[in-house]
Amino acid sequence: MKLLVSREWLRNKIATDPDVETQAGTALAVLEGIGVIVPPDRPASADIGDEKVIRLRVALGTLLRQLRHRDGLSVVELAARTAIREDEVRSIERDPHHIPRPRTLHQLATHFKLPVRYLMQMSGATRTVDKVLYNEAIRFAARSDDMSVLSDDEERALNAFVKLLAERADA
Amino acid sequence: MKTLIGTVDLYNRQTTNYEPADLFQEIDEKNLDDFEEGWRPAINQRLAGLSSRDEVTAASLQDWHWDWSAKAEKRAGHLAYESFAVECAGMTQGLMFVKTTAFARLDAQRGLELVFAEYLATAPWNRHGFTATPTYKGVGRVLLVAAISFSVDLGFKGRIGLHSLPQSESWYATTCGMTDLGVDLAVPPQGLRYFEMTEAQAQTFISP
Amino acid sequence: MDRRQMTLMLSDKEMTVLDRLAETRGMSKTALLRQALRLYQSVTERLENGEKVFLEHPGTKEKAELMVL
Repeated sequence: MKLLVSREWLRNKIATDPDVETQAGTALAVLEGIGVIVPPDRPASADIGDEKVIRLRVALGTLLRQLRHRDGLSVVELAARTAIREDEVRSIERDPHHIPRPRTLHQLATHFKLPVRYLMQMSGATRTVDKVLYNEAIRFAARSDDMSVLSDDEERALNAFVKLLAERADA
Repeated sequence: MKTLIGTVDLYNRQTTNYEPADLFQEIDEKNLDDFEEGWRPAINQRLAGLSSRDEVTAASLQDWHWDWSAKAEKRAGHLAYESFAVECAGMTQGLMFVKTTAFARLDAQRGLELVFAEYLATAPWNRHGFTATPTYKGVGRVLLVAAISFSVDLGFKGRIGLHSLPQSESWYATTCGMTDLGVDLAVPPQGLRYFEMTEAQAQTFISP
Repeated sequence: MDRRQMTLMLSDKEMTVLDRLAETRGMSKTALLRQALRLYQSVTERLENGEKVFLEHPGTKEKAELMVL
């Protein structure tokens, strides 16, 4: 294959090109989705105190806690089955200021058969969040009571939310 | 077989000097190794920084990397796929994977063959988003020229297509003069803006 | 890059089609045949993997199976 421009042409153009990002490709959308591509002005702790992210994490914690209850598992049992530390399971379920690690979310996604990218969005790790997901997640969390056994209503709401996540992932 | 297409110059922002770089067609083990051993740890470190954690595991990212390493190997015997690498200072600075069995969507060239870039990236340490002191400038332009040249070589007259990441849209729309076909929602998770370059735009882009 | 040569014998009918396709798509006959080879490799590999290849009409959504190996 012949390169259609000269070395000099490239050098001159590179000198005057705006100094901006040039990443492209559907393959990279995956990285974008799991929060690897971030704007330069976003420090690691930016999301602490960010109201939207806190609400999403509450929904994430509720989702995971309810799934665990649905399956009749204790924290210890879930931690063992997913190779996650117990304190981390508790933190995700209870502490909206805790930032879950990507590997942890991946383990939980695999165990509960959920799309990992939505868990990543709900954990506040991504720069952008699916609007429908956000609204549904907040609505789902608002419906839950903090009992260790799910009421019928809660179980219905849980199933509906899980179904939504699966459907959006396939779309 | 890995083939040297040409030698170019990249601008080192830190030293303010130009350094010679090689553009290769058909990447090899070295490029995949650089991707695994060089690019990935840098990306993982950034991810760890986001989560304020010391441990640098990102299972989804690992899956993706494995997937792409495996894909890259699988594609070696496939005529429909081609890969390009830019090497400078003994390290892979840029990678591009393209597909040749794709067809244009833009009305003006609907159905005509084009070179579709599935992945076009510069190494993490060259990006502003990753570090306050990014190293090489110019990888994006070099890879784009490679894609256009390849398109011409195949008889596709310079037509190319790609999905831009949000932060690169101004580069493709304005500097490269490509046509914006809008956000392609078929790209998970929430779509990416799809651009095509016509024969005429390719001519303009590579003109002096 | 290595190049190897082949002499291709085509019937009048085949040559006419090749000429017309090349002209319509704005490519040389060689370029067109090489692209055809790429497409053929992609399609047959999918078929060999057990996948089915369909053509779909955008309006009616009617599907026609392309070929079976």
